[in-house]
Amino acid sequence: MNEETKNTVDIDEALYRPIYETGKSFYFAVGFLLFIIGFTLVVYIRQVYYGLGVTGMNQPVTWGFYIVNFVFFVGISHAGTLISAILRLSKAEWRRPITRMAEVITAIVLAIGGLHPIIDLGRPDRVLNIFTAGRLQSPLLWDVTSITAYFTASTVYLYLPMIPDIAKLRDRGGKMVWFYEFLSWGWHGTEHQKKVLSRAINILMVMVIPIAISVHTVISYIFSMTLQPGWHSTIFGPYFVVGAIFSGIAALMIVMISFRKYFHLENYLKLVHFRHLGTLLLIMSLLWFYFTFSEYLTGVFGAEPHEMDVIFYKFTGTYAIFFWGMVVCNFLIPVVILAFKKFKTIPGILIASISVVIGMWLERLNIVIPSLANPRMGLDMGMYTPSFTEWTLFIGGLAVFVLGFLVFSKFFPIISIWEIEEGRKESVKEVEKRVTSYLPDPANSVE
Amino acid sequence: MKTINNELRDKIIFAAQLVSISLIWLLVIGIIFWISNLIYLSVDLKDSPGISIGISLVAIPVFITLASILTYVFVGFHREKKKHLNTDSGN
Repeated sequence: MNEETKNTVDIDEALYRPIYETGKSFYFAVGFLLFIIGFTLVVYIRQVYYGLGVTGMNQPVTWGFYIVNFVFFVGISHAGTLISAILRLSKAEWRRPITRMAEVITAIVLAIGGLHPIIDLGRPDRVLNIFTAGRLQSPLLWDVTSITAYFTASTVYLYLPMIPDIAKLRDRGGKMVWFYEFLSWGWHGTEHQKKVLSRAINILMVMVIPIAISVHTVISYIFSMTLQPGWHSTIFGPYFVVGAIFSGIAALMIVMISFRKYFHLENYLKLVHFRHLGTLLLIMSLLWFYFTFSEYLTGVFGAEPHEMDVIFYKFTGTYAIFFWGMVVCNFLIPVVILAFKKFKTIPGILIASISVVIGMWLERLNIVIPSLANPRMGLDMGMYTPSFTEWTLFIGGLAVFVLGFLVFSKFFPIISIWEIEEGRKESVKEVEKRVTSYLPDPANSVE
Repeated sequence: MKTINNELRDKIIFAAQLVSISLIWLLVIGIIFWISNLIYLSVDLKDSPGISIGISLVAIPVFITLASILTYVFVGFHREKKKHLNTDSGN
């Protein structure tokens, strides 16, 4: 172990501890999650065997939970890479303990979300048709392309900033040194290597922002490119992007609060981090309300009969409880909690975040189902009730997410150690220099 | 003996790293072939080939850039690693 590593071990031992110490609760949690995932797999195999008849989907509602969850999970993935890239780009110094967790969320959730359209296929083998007979003119294929690009970019963006930390684990010795040596790519922290890494991260963070925005815009196109009432809207692209960032920040804060509590990271994830992210969540809540209001006002003002059928289905009909539940969860609860400093405590922020995640899931439900349940072409109004299979696959998806995070935390630090070190060494000076550069020059002010 | 083992171990790890970096290029080449096939289909069926070409003009450079960044970092690190090892052995 070299001298520099030894020193950091003393200061940042709490960040290494989850990797080297494994409590009984970890094994219990992993076992429980594996049981859920195993059960989900059995239920899915049953669906493949019997066909989509085991789900609640039927005419006219042919898209149900799977597509709702697809949009929801891909939305959550915006927590990571996009927020991390924006915070890095804007040189927000408080980002340092947050970015790694945000990036991990993206990689795991995107993999889960991306699988949902395949789960939605009665014959999953037919997904291979996109290789031989896909139509690049279809928004569905735009999705495949943009999600693949986003997943690749996010994985690279997660991996590259992890290299110095992986090298630290390699230098510490202990279990699986060969694994860390393989992943560290010969990092020794020389000036040249630092320069190469910094240049690569800079290019990636600029590149990843348009990719992330394109992904959720393209997902909205699946709906808005059709002439379906409630879907055919030019606002859907930005509306989906705003919703994705909104739900992403909320999910990120739930993860941060959980790991803070579970791994005792109070010294790294302080109230100030949650307050800053809470302010961002509040802004996104207001933006979300603005988009929702604009979307429905345009529909109501136009009063096109088929459009009104969908709107009444949401406002006063079968989906009223989900629609108004969405408004309460996405607007009322977070705004009340986050607008007042008194409520902006960690428990308060946790409540607001959980509320937003539930609200955004309801929003996806409100977008997908009501438009299909009110067909225009000689079909009766439909009612969609998810079956046991769909609920199980949803819970299974959440279990994969938690398991993915737990396994990640067992092999890698969930807070970027080298960035924290860099912050300690350079941030104060750098911020001071930056602030000084904003201020008017004393000589000129006298003049 | 230990030195020989270490050298062999280093070589195996380096080979595995080379394979991993090759995989990203394999993915990129696969995607280029896939998109080209879809363009060919749309031209063949006279079904809006312009849109397919437009999307490929955006998608393909994105994947190439991502793979290039990874390769740049890999080569940059290993060139420096060699120097680092040479300096160590010189001392």
